[in-house]
Amino acid sequence: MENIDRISSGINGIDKLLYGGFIKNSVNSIVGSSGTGKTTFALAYLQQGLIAGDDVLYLSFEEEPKKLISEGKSLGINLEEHHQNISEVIHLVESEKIVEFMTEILPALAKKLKTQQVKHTRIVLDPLTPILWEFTTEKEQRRVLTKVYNYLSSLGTVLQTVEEPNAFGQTDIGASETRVPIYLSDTVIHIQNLGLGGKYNRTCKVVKSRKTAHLEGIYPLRFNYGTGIEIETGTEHETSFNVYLEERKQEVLEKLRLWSKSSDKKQRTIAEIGIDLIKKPNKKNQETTYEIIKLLADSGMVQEVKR
Amino acid sequence: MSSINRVKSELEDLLELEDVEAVVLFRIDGSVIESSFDNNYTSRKIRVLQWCKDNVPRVSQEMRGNNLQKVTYELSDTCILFFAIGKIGILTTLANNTANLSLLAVETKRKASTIENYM
Amino acid sequence: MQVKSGMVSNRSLKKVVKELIDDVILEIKGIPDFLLIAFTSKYKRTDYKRALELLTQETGVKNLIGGTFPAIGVQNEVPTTQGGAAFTFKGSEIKVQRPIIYKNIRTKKKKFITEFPKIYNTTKAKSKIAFVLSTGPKLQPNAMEQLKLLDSYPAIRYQKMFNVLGSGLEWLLGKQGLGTGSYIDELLNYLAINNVSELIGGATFDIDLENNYQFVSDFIYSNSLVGTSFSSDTIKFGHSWTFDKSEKTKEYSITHKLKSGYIQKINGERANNKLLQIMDVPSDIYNEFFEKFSYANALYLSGIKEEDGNYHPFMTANHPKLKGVVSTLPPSKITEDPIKAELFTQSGLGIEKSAYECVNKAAEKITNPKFGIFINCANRLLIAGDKIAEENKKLAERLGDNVPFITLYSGCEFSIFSKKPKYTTVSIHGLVAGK
Repeated sequence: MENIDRISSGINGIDKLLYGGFIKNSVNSIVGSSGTGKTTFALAYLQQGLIAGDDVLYLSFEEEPKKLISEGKSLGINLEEHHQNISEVIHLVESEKIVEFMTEILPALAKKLKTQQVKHTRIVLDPLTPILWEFTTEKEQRRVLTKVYNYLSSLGTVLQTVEEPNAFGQTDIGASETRVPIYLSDTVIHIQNLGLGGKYNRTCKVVKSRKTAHLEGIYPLRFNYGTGIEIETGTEHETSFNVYLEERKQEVLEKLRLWSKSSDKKQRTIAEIGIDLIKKPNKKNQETTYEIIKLLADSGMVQEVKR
Repeated sequence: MSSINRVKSELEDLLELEDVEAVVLFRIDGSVIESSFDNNYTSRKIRVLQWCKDNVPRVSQEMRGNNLQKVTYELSDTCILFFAIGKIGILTTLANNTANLSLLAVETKRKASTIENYM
Repeated sequence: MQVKSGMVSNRSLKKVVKELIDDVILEIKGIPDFLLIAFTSKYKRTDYKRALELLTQETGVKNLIGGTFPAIGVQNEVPTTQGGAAFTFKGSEIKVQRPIIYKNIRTKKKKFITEFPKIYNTTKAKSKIAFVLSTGPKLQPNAMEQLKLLDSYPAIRYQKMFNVLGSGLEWLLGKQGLGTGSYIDELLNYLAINNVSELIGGATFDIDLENNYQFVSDFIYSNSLVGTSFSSDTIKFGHSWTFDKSEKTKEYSITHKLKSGYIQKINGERANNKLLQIMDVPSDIYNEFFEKFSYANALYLSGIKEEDGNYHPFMTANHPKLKGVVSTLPPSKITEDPIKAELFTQSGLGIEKSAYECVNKAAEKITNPKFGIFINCANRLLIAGDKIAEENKKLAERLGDNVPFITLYSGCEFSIFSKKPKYTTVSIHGLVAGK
């Protein structure tokens, strides 16, 4: 399995569904109809970025920044707590400026930031739908979005929300309105409000995930004060997650065994600690084991230790 | 007890029956009026429930058009019973494929008539 | 005379009992003379015990008998598979015998057959009938393994000897709770000889052949028989039985069989495969069905023609582990000669029709019915499914709109009509009391 750099989504459960979080410098779509929790998802993603020390940029194409901040607060996502001037991070792009913004301003901004070699940036486009309305043909949408995604993903990891058409309670993820962004995204997460009640009310499913495996089920999603949204991954797919963990473990062990024979003392030390940790995993908390494995498998680990 | 609480209690009764996994009272357009599920959440169940929700308008149309009281679907691993509740609702019972459909139908019919009285 | 019957369905037996007490039993002014309590099969034994204690404490009823059944019905209601029903009456017109209980009835019949006729005959009232509930079939996990012995060559070749072995095995399995055929048939014959002229009864039952219980007062029993008798000089007790004999399809001959009701060969060939062949049911489909669903779902109805031209119904089960067929043919129907049998097809409509026929016959000499008690085979319930409500309507239609009755969906049904015993399955036996 390819060793991929990932970032945490900030949503409880999503990282597990994606076997470790979003892939760095990828484009990720949250698709759902109105009221399913797309913006909450985006705000939680933003908060996680602030916690992790990433640069963040939230481009709102609909809501005023103030409204978004207060919406987050109502679910315990207190962005102001993590950033002194949060309104500098969240920008409203007015509808009459969308075409200009997407075709000229955003590519230019991205180019400029790229040359300044900024830190990994979390970029949110919420919602993408008004952009799609401005570029009505699929061909046009594809042309504009491909370009924008290329620029943005070179700066960091993109999360965009896409409104799913909803007619008479029926949703349709395959509708023409959502086809292009879904096609161009690396990861697509479909959230639904089925209204069935209990755990079957709101659901979450990873429908697409490039470069990495993901859990296949449909999982209960619920709003949660503090983290905004929580996905209950339950025990149904523990087995497949364990298989994945085991694969990762073997992969890392192989690497550490090589390092244990290295002439570099630091590599040998890492190998010694790593092998010990892996052989005595914390059974009560597999997530921790997973984090350790991820950390040890990181190619930058030795450099970090050296520094 | 309010009507909706009474309905909920009837659904809970059905859920207690052997092999029953979920009970949902739909409005004929597919909106959920009340529901009850066992504790074992599975993706299979939600797929079937979603299928039920999507198909309730069509099933209810068929039921009204042909004066059907009950429609049964036997999928590979799930059985679904749809019972008409007057002209407005469909009581849907989802059970695993080892359920005794005859016995289940007796109780679901009974519950359907009880719920009809509440509504 | 005050008579009430009612039903409550709920997942909580406590709630069921409380509502039955308030809405049915306490509707009778004074302490009822008789209370028949039926609960559906899937509650816990401790729940039944608590329910009976509450019933006796709250109502003060002395003459309480009852048991567990897969479903129960009363007038004007869709039957329930999750709840309970009460049937109760009070009035000087009917004398009720203090309920009796005989434990381990399959293996200890002697006490019952000597005592019960005496109890029954203590009264010289014009009209009287015994009412009995007895333990129904249960299936032990190893039961079929034991029955395999009856498929062996010596068991077929030396039938007379193996009749003894068959009876022994039946006794053993009976002790474990399998079947009702042999012991009920034997009991009824004894009772009839000893002047128990009229009786109606049925077996408590669980569709999954797990636990079934019998009740007397606040005591709960398994493997037992409970009963009472009603007598009156002013009220008549009419009773009858029938089954859905609407369609006969194919004939076959039971050529090798044991007294225990085990059929080894049909038309000279191994019974299991041959019967499936006659029924035109592929064995793999039947076997899958048998594994997947309950035992009671995989039963087929046959009948043997009797001297009077009527048919005696019985069930067969083609268990995949056996070469022969398990049947509910009672020992008294098993002759040395080959037995000619016919396959019957049951239908929802046939079941409705036969129910009406039963109540009609039971009520034929009664112009003013006061109540009814029906013992109806659980297999008929499975055939009819939710249409069983229509069958119940037929009973109400004949008895009259507000006449209380109770229907117990049982493991087997039996009666004695003018000293002639009748043990059957897939049938309905009914009692109608009135003037």
